[in-house]
Amino acid sequence: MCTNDDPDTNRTRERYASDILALQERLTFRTLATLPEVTYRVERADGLTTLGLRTDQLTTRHLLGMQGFRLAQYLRLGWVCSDAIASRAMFCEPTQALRDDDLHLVTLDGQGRILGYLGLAGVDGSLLMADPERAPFPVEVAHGVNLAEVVPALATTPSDQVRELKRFVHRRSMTDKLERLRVTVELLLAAGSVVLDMHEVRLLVGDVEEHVALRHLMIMGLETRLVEGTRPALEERHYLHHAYTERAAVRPFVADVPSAENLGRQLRLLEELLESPDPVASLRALVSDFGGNVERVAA
Amino acid sequence: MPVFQTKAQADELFGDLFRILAADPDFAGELERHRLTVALVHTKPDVTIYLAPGEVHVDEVPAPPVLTVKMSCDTAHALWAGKLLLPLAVATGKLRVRGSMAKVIEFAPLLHPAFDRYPDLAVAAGLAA
Amino acid sequence: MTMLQTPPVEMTAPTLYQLSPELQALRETVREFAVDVIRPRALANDQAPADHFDWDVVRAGHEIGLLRLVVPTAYGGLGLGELGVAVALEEIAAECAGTALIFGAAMLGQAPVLLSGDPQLQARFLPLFSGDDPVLACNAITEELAGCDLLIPESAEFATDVVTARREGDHYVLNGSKKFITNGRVAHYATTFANMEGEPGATGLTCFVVDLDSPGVVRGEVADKMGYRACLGTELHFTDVRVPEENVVGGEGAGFHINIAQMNMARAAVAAISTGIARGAFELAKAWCDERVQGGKRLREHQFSARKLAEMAAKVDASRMLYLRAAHLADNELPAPVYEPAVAKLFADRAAIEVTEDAMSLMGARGYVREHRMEKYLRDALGTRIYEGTPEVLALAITESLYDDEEW
Repeated sequence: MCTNDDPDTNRTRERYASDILALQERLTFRTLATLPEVTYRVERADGLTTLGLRTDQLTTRHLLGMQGFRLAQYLRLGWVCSDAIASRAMFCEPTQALRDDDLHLVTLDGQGRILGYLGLAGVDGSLLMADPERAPFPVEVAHGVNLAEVVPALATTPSDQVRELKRFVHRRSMTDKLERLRVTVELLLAAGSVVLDMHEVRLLVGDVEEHVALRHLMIMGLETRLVEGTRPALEERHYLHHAYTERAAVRPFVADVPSAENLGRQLRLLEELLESPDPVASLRALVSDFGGNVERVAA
Repeated sequence: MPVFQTKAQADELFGDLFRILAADPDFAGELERHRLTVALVHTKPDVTIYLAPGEVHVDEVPAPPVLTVKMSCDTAHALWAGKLLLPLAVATGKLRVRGSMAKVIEFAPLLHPAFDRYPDLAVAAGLAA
Repeated sequence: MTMLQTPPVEMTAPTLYQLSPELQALRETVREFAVDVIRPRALANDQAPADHFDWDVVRAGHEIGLLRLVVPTAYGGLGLGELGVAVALEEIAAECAGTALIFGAAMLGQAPVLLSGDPQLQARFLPLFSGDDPVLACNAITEELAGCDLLIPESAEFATDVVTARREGDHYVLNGSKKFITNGRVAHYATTFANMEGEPGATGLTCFVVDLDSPGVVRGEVADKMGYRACLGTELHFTDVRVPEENVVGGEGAGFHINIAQMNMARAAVAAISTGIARGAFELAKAWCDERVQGGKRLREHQFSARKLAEMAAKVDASRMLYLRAAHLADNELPAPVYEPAVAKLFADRAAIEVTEDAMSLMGARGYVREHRMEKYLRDALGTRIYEGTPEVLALAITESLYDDEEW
């Protein structure tokens, strides 16, 4: 599905993908900050704004905008199959699978361009994670694993106390390292703050590349179990098929949400990092002194 | 010469086409989401296909449809086979629609899988696609 | 004799006479925008140089959704039909017809993409209108010699500036010039009608979505118009402009049918603009006749003025009823009806000229002075009669429909 023998078709499909990228690059969403209800909002003096919104707090066009940003960045990373999105005429990630209380965290610049996105998604129902009737998280589907079976601590947790971290993406055209770090920290602050406010969330799941997104979990000070030995795959016609064929090893994780006290401390440190004259050095110090730990478990 | 020699031939081919379409989860989901029900009224020979989320009825319209699409079986054959373009069919009056145009605009792109499937079905039914 | 039955409740309030709550809300929102944003700037925009364009008004209109009225909800739009468009445009035109046409022309630029039923084309262009920053589109038909009638082979053969297209591999190459293209100066893309080389006339007319930032596109002179000065009627020049094959709308040769379809759909909206112009002029005159005292009586108490006001009110109402009927039908029939939109436009265009002229005469010298805005209404009313069908073109369409007994 992701390759096509016909060069003419391939050219057309590549042009489609390139048009979708150009389209998404143009779109701005300043008005996200003016929606009547937001779950999290921090506006910085330099114009950077980070917001947390539930799906049901978004208008359709704003939701499509966020889903479009996600698709465009994954497309730039080479993780989206242009043939699949062209044949399905996709311009954004599908919205059907989103739940009303899924959280969308975004950082916008002063012009309203989305600079980064992070999603916190739940599953329907409230069954124990070990319950065979429990709805699986997308990470479990992609990796063909029941996380409750490989991480015993997860088994007795109700599924509504678990959230999956999804699509931690930056705007790919944002190449300045400090700017990217800034957006990372803003989104982690947002994620930590909303989790702290939600009280009921005890565990986070998802999948990460060891040398990329795992660092984010360490910055947050999370005690993380990394599940080794899975063979993640999505069916060949899935538009994200490449996400598991084109990148380094991706491993599922289960992370404990720290106590309110520890999470609060971590958030204060992240706020201080934003004020630091040398954020990179401050980040190193933060991870060294208060970073999380990784335990490896077999699938 | 008309494409379809008998009503049974048209019943079977269009029935099969829309049963395949209705079984597609994307198509069914979109029908549900847009609350769309459609009657495709074919003439010469007369075949009516009624589509609702998860339902296909031949020559039976169980409830007033949101959209009614009327065309001859020959037009339908040319359309699904890709020989007649939808805007042309509409503009020349070969295909007529009654119902909310906003719904038509939502419905038209959903039909795309039908264009992919019909040629093979037509050939299997002994018709030149 | 059969007794007439009491009609069921839902039949006592047909949508033509009572808009749905959603459309009533839309009308209120657009009216507020027109009064608060457009009215204070209408005079300045009218008197500015011909190439002046007020992006702030467009931005404010976009904020309330005017550039995504007809864009399906699946692409972030409001998913409204012709009725919604017409109701909105009447409100805007009541303050400034030129501003109404900025939004109307953008929708006309979207129309071929909507009519195509092509999901890829729609996915590539329609979400553009869902962001916060306004994006405009335009519809490029008119040419120097062929005018709007691109189908007359003689015109195509002898015209030097006719826009032509030829296929080269997986692209088409466009050459030629368009004229009086509303939004051409400021639009992101133009749905452009071109004759396939060597095939002038109905069978060769093809519609392309052309990115106006493509190499070879030059946005030319802005016409210095008598009215409708808030919107820019621009020349568009195409020199070896390469357009990918997937930007063809509905396939090669579908241009004629797309043109007819969009025109029949657009006429109800243009009739609504005429209605808005007439209403705006009428409201100014009505207020004046209530205020002005002559011979010890207010003007409205003088029989001659009262008669004029009554005639004007009737014309505005009749225009509105006709465009509502036409828009309602256009929203519920495909192909769009020919007769009702043409009748609505023919009547409303003429009514707008008559009402603005009467309103001007009621206001006397004040009507002739720019600051009172009345002479602007008259200039705008004369413009509406030209686009999307002159009275002569409409008359032909109407008369042909009278003898057309084709049934559903």
